[in-house]
Amino acid sequence: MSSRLASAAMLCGVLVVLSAAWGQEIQREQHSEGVAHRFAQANQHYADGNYQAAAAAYESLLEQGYHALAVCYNLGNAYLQMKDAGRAVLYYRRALLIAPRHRDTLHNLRYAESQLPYQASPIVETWGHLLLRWLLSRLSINELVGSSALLYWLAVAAGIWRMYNPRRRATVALWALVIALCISSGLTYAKWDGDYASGRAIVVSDADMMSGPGRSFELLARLRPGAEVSVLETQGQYREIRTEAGGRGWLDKQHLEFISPYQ
Amino acid sequence: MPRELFAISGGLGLEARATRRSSRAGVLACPLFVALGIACALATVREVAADVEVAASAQPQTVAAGETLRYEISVTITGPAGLTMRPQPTLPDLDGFEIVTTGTRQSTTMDDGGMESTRTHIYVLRAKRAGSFTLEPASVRVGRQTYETGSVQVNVTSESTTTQPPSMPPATPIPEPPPPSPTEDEYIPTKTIDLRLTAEPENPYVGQQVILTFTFYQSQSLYGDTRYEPPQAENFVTKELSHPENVTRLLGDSEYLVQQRRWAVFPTTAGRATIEPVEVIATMHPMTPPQDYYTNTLELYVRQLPPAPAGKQFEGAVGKFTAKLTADRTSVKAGETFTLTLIVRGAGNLHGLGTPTPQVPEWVRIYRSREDRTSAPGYGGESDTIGGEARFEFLALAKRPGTVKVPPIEFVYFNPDAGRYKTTKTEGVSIQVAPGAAMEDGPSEETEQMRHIMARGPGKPAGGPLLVQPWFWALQGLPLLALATFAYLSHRNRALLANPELARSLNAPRVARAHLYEARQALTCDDSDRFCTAVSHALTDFIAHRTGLQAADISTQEAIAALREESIDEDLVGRVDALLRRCDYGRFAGAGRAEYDEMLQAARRLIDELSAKSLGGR
Repeated sequence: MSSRLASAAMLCGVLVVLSAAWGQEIQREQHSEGVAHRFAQANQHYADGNYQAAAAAYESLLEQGYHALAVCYNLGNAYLQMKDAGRAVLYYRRALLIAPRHRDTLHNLRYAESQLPYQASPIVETWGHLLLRWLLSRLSINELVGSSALLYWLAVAAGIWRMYNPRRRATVALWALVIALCISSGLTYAKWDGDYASGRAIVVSDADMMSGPGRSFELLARLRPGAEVSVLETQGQYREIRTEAGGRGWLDKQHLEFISPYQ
Repeated sequence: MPRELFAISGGLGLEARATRRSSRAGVLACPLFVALGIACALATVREVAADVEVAASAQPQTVAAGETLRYEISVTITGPAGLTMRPQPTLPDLDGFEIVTTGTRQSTTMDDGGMESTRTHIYVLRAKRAGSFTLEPASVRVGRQTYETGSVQVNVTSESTTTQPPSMPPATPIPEPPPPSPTEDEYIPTKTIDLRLTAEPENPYVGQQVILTFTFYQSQSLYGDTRYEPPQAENFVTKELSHPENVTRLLGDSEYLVQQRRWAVFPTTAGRATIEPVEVIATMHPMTPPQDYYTNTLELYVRQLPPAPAGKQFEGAVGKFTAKLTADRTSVKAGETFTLTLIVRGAGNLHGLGTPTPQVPEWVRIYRSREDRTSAPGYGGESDTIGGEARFEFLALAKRPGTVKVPPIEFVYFNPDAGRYKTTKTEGVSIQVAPGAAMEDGPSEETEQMRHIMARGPGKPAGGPLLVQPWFWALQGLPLLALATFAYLSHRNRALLANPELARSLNAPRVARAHLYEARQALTCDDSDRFCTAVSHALTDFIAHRTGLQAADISTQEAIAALREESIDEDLVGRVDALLRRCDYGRFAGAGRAEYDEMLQAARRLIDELSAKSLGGR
């Protein structure tokens, strides 16, 4: 009798869990349909030429965590249509964080940069730097992390294999995987540091670069929208930045947006 | 304006000891500053010892009896310590003279080489009788050191050398020229220490230079370091101007030492602006604590610039400027770069200047490559005028042959003196572009139009990079766990290989289970002999492996003896013995299936019980 009761209780429990999961899935689908609907509405605003409303709708999706390629890309387009090339550059750069090889985003980014008041200064780099930059610009952080994780798993497997089969072939495989893992990890770190951790930001509106955190300090330069800078420190309303040319100064927060949406 | 602390040492001079507050670097550098401070203090002590000069003189050196002469002992101390030192001379024996009056005079000079303070002790002596006198060296104590002047020769004649009556005393003990009197509209201080902050002009335009002047009046010597904080001016860009020399002036009824500090400030926003008072911390008396003194608060009304002329691009320049545009080459090949340089010179807010852009044809790409702004006080020979040069360099790249005509740049600035906008114009620049290797027909088709939006929306919220996902890091723990497990197993296997007895002991249950499995197989085949042998081997081999005996040779008696040697309780030993005997009998006399099942179960139980016992020390 007791075993029958236990079986019935177990069955009930399973049914409850399944129904909860099903309900959540339905809710998720409904939410997803709602998101798709809002995205379609934003696209309609864009098609109607109401770029401001379209941008607001795309931004609301971003605020809800939908950092998707389509949202960032379309938002960049909306800003570009509003002649706000600085913000357009920002959102294209965010889209490229998700899909670094997306052709349309790359194309529109180049177009937006050509619309900026000033072009970025050409930076003279060594071949090594150019190769690294090219490589990192074509791989997303998740691709690099995934490949590093895969190499790590393979290296562990090779280590176990070598433990039980200490032959030259196993040793060579292990070392090859370890070296590949080191290279992959280095690239991952460079990508993470460059795009996420180092505080890369875009100047989104005309900004005065001061010598200290306040308007009363000396004005060093005027930065134009689209300029890329590194944020070094934050003090109240001001952020200390370093420009691509190496100049350092302080900018009001309102003129800066981090490229990475996770900062 | 950054808040900085300066020191006015002894109330007579300014010492450029500035410390940035609210700076993390400053906090980190604190120990360094303390060390530097100690070093400076030690250096100062050395300076006192090394850089003190004392001298004595008499003027005139020949007087008639009854006349007066001035005997001066001057002490010159180099360095800031001189401002706080009060050297006291000890006079030599003044036989033949009497002191009519005494006085002191102090002067301080500052230049790039440092600070020098001279304190002169003046004694007016009257000669009492004729003769040739040698005034022996006077001694002066400065800090812990004592210095001596030279001796001074004085001849006193019996007759008067001047027409002045010998009994007439000097008009003043310090025969110096009277200090300058104040001008009509000059501020007259009323207190011993008086402070004043002024601005010129008081209604500037946004971006126009304003001169802030802080004046410190003192009619009494101060003790210790006197500190002040520069004025706090929000929404002003500040540059410090050179300081005028300290002067002593007769203002009202008192003689004041007047010190001034000046700054050029540029308002950045229009409207009313308040400049907070300058605070001075000074010690009037060595026995009283330092006191705070404040200047007046300044209220400025910053005027908005008038609207820029229609059609002209105004970049925020306020002052007087000239502009010049040049190119580093007159001809290039397509694909080669050339540099355009725009130089803006003048007096005004060069720091707030936007960057004008040279206009180039669409087939020429232009990049901003360099920007230098240098401005300093003293532009045009006027010490109060901030001015200099802003240099903007642009790297240009022509993509196809032709003539690059850069039109003149019209540089618009606001002249606050005239109260209107003015325009200065550069000359145009022309560069011939010849066909080159990296030639292109024109602007890329690709960049002519932007691509359309994406129609497909986002599926689900992005979780962000894998690196910030906790599950990702948890998953990466699995390979490490596997590696640790396999490493442990590998180590255990190596240990067992090195110790066969341990391996046999650990292997004993598996061997016993194999024999019992064989017994079950034999039971299904109704092979009673094989069944009994297998059950018997399961027990004897288990005991042999666990006790370290040779399994091949062990008999029932040896197994029982081995168990007794291991001090196993008699009940268990008896049951093992009984089962082994039943197995022996079972080989020769068959039994029923139920009995064999019972024997198999008994064997299993006994092996389990023996496994729980410690056999062979394991």
